[in-house]
Amino acid sequence: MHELSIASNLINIVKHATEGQEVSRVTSLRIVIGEMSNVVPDCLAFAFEVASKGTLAEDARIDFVEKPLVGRCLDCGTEFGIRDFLFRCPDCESPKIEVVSGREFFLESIECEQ
Amino acid sequence: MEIKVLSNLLKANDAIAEQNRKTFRENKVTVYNLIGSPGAGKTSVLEVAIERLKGQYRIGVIEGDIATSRDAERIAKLGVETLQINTRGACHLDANMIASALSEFPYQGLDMLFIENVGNLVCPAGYALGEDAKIVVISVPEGEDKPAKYPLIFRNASLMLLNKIDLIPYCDFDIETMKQDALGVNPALDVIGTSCTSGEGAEEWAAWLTSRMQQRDSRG
Repeated sequence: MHELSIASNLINIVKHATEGQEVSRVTSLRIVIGEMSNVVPDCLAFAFEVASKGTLAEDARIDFVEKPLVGRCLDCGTEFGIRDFLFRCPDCESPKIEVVSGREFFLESIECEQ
Repeated sequence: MEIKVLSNLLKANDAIAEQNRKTFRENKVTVYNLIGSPGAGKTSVLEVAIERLKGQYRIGVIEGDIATSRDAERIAKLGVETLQINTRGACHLDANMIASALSEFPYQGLDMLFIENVGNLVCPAGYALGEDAKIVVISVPEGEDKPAKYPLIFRNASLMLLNKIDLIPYCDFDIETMKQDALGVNPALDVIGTSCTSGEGAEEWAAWLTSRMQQRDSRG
């Protein structure tokens, strides 16, 4: 259910972005998705297929750019890949970790035909 | 032709959540978003808190469920302002549902507002409602592996209520493993064990809420 509401929001964003431009159809969308964004690419692709019927983006392909979860230690500055969701610095063992990437969830760009 | 967009896909929700947050701040209402699996005991821990704190604070509750008003009826018996939202199938509450609910709910004058989300550990974690803090309610029979399996909610929560701790002797449940996993995901997470049957942890849970109210009041 959740992915379907995101898909309809996605259609609105695409409509807005193509407004006033000479676009005959949208061929692909590039979506950046973080490891910790709680969104399932396959589900979103399916929901998008349903939600895009009859719009400029019908039959458009979604390219997902998946971003791994990366943290930065606020005590010693080390950047490291967070595995198994353990927010602890591998160098100094500090638990004060800022998430550098892995929470992304945005539409980066769309590819269109004129 | 490529069009750069760079648009956050949850932006619509986040913008409304921010508006809700502003409304709550202006009215000095502290808001908690309660998240947990179906049957974890979200409504029960709320009853415990309300019974202990209703003499001291003005409390309101918004109940989110897919269907029925059973939870709202339970809470309304305690004499606090209650509103039921039925999502009719949606797996989480979103900020817009709360914004609409506020038009028919007298939140002005409340000290604390609890929003009980739809029973689900996944989707509600991603949708801000405008709350001050998220509270995750998890129960012993669900198993100790939940923080490892559903990290986002544990990362985003301020407090974990580990409910039904009276059942530990009957379940294969290692409380230390669970705490370690939860704190591994979120070292700042507060953890309180509760049992709504035996009353264990009730004082500590009420004290957690009271101390946050006192912190707020001391900040003015």
